[in-house]
Amino acid sequence: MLDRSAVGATFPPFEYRIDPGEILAFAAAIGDQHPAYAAGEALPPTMATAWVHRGNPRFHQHLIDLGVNLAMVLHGEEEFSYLAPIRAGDTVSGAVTVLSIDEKAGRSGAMDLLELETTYAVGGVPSLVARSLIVVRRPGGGA
Amino acid sequence: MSELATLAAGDELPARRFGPVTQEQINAYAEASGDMNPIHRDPEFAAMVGLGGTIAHGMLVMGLAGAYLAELAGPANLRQFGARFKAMTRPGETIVCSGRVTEISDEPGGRVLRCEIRAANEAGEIKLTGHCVAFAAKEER
Repeated sequence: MLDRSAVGATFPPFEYRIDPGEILAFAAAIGDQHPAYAAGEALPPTMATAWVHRGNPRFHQHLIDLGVNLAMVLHGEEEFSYLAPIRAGDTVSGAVTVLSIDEKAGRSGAMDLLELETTYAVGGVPSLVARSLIVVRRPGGGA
Repeated sequence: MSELATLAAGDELPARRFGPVTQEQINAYAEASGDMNPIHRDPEFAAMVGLGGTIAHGMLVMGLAGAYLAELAGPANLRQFGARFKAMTRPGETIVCSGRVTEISDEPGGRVLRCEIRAANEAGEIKLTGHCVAFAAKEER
């Protein structure tokens, strides 16, 4: 069971400078060859996922504090809303809010559902919103 | 010019094949994204937690769908892109992205397309269903 009292809470914001080399390494790992990335004009559509892991050192601790067993985590949904351009060299400020905590009966036992929303601002302007649904399997169950 | 400029509501987007996804690619994605969860990189660990072997990051498969949309629409023209993960992807699987225009609305300077998208393996197992909203600039005359 996850800590439902956390619904509505926003974790302390983190700041991350977007390194041009990281953009190219991310695009290369996917195999996304669009020339706008090397030109510094745009980011790969899913680039913000790297800011969660590389830019927010406390992210995993936040999940653990909510009661999440990291070994049992699966990704359920992800949605990006692109509000304003973000470019290489920009510094984003990310704030993670817990939107909802729920549970559901899956094919192989109960699972916890955790919905997070991260708003990334550049110079105070909200520029990208990422909404994630994280599924946490319970020990003994299948996927 | 965006490839979306000439499509009508109901039209299929041209499909595109990616892969096969390899363990080397999954490892490179782990490094580049910073998601170092061992379920993606360590077969023994993945087996121990009931997955039967390593799986690709869901976000890697969404990244392939993102590459698909970036080529079709231009990455700076995307307004929204969402995905629901339906099945795990294993090393060796080829991913086929496809989609369909569901709605078009006019806007100054161009039009906005809403599309549904899919990513599946070659056997047709759906890995991801999703949607996007993209702007397409009017063609110069």
